[in-house]
Formats: sequence, C-alpha cells, structure tokens
Amino acid sequence: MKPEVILSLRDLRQLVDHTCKTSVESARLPQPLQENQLLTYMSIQREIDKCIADGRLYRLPSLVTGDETVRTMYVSTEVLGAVTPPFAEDRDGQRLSELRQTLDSFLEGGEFSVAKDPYSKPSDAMLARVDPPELEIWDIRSVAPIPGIRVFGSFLELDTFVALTWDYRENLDEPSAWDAEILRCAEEWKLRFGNMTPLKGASLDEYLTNYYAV
Amino acid sequence: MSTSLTTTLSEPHGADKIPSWTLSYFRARLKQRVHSLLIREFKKSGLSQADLGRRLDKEPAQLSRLLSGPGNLTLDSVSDLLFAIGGGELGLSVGHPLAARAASANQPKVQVPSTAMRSGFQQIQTEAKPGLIDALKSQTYPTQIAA
Repeated sequence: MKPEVILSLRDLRQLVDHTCKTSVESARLPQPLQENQLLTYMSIQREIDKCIADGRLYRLPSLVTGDETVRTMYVSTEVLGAVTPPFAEDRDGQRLSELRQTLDSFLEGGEFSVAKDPYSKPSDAMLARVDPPELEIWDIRSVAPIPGIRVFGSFLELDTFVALTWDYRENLDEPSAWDAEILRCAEEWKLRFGNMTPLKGASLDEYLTNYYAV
Repeated sequence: MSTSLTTTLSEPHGADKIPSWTLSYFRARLKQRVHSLLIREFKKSGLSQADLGRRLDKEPAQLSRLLSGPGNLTLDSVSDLLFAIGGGELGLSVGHPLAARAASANQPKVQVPSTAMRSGFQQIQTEAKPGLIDALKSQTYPTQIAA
C-alpha cells in the first residue's frame, strides 16, 4: 500500500531550499579527496550502511554479472519486489523482466540517453530528471514495450542511483497522480536519508558516465 | 555483510521449457547492448546528429527517436545507422554470459585493495574475480556484439 502523501510540491520545494546546505554534491570523491569531502562521503556511507542493515535498501546485482557492476544501484523493498525473478509466466512477468533488464543495463555501464531538462525531452529518453528539478528526482524510463514503466529515485553520487518507487506510466497519466508519485518518492528518500539531499550536479558528467544527452 | 540476491536466470537444460520472462529478458538485453553500441560508435565518430540525419535522409525527429532508446531499433535501422556512422557493420558471435559467470564464480577470488575500488562502499563489495571488473568496464558493450 502506498503511504499517504502529506506534503505539497510547494512544501517540498521549500524543504529542498532549506536543506540544500547539507547537499551531498561534494561527495563524488574527486582526487585528491579533501577532508570535508571525505566527511560527507563517510556520512553517505554510514547512511547507506544503516539502510542496508535495516532492510530499507538493498544493493541490486545484475542478473547476468552479479555484484560485479560498473554502476551501483540501491533499491527499496518495493522496487526489489518488482524486479526480482522468478516473474509470472504472463505478459506482466515479461514486462517486469524487461524492466529488470533496463536496470541491469544501467548496472553494467550501458549507454543511457539522458534528459536533464524535465520540460524538454524526447519521449524515448531512458533517464530523465522530473519536475520540479530542485528535488533531484529522476526516473528510469522503460518506455517500450507498452505499458511503459517508470522507476523513480535520486543519485547519491556519480553512477550511484537509489531507486525508491515505481509504477506503470498509465497509472500516472493524471497530473495529480504524477505529482503524488513524485512526492511519494521524495518522502521515501526522506525516510531513509533525512535532510541529506540527493546529488545535485552542474552537468550530466557529475551524475553518470556513458550517457548520451538528449 | 552480504547483500547478494539469488539470481534465477539459468541456461537452457534438456527439454525443459524456458520461462517466457527469461526470453524477454534476453531480447531486451540484446536491444540494449546494440543501442549502447550504436551510441558509442556515434559518439566516437564525432558526427553531428544533423549530418547523420542527412546521410540517412531522415528527419531530425526520426533520427532522435532511433538514438534515444533501444525500443525503436530494428535490424534494418541498426544496419543503416552503423553503416551511415562510419561504414560499419555488426560483427557477430555467440556469447554465453551465464556460463561465463558460473565459470568465473569457480575461479579463486582475490581481495581488491580498498584504494582500487571505484565505490567506497567496500562493505558490500569486497571481492572480485580476476579480470572480471576490467572486462566489464571495457567489454560489456563490445564492438562485436555477442548474440
């Protein structure tokens, strides 16, 4: 069951403004590592440790290459449940296995077409930042075959994505449903990371490697 | 701390029916890999999308759709794009990723120094098979696609 949404998008924008001082933007481990960056990085690691220990996040392996991946993805129980085989022997099962393959492609370092601008993107972009951009919520877009599926989450550091919620695109057609889903994702982030904000990069290079800007 | 999750992808065995979702997974995997290959070749070529569109006599929107994701690719469009990008064609070979992974799992494991890890989350990624990470980084999406 989806949790009740109690904040408006406007509330969340204000929350983001307020908490931007604790941004994890500096946690991408540039070389050489500065002391303050190391501290931020360690705090991220500590939060991840806690979430994994509590069963609030899981590190997703590739079904083909296992734990040895180029990128990293942590997933909520909700996302893990959707993309973990065995899948049903029906169309839904096939569709979810295709979604899992998209996530595995991310893990294995595949080229992703990425749209940073929520207001201007091709319909087939594989990864896009959603409105409002200040929230730094992105969706992995499994657009084909129909029905399309969206997986929502945020970047923790370069090439590290935290996938928190998902739904079929057709369930999000109504703007209110879409907004509620974004709020739900933001809430799920807050439940795990408190006031620590997602990665906010100046360019796509700071979010991921092997991308194709669209 | 281990967070490994059991994979249930397995190679075909005897006359056992392959789950339909396994076939879907590998169909999608092939498309994703071919798409990645196309993008890599396109980026390497230095061509602009406009020039590539002119070479193929395609409208910008048509070409953008092809390059944006694997969903719209066909064998014909892959052939067209590879040739138009640099006179290339798809090299073909058959790979056995699940068997390769199983074989790799039977090899002796080596400890990777923490300073060599890409990510700092060593507590959940402490071991690597010899050469596999390097192979992943450089060959996961090879020019020669394993069918």
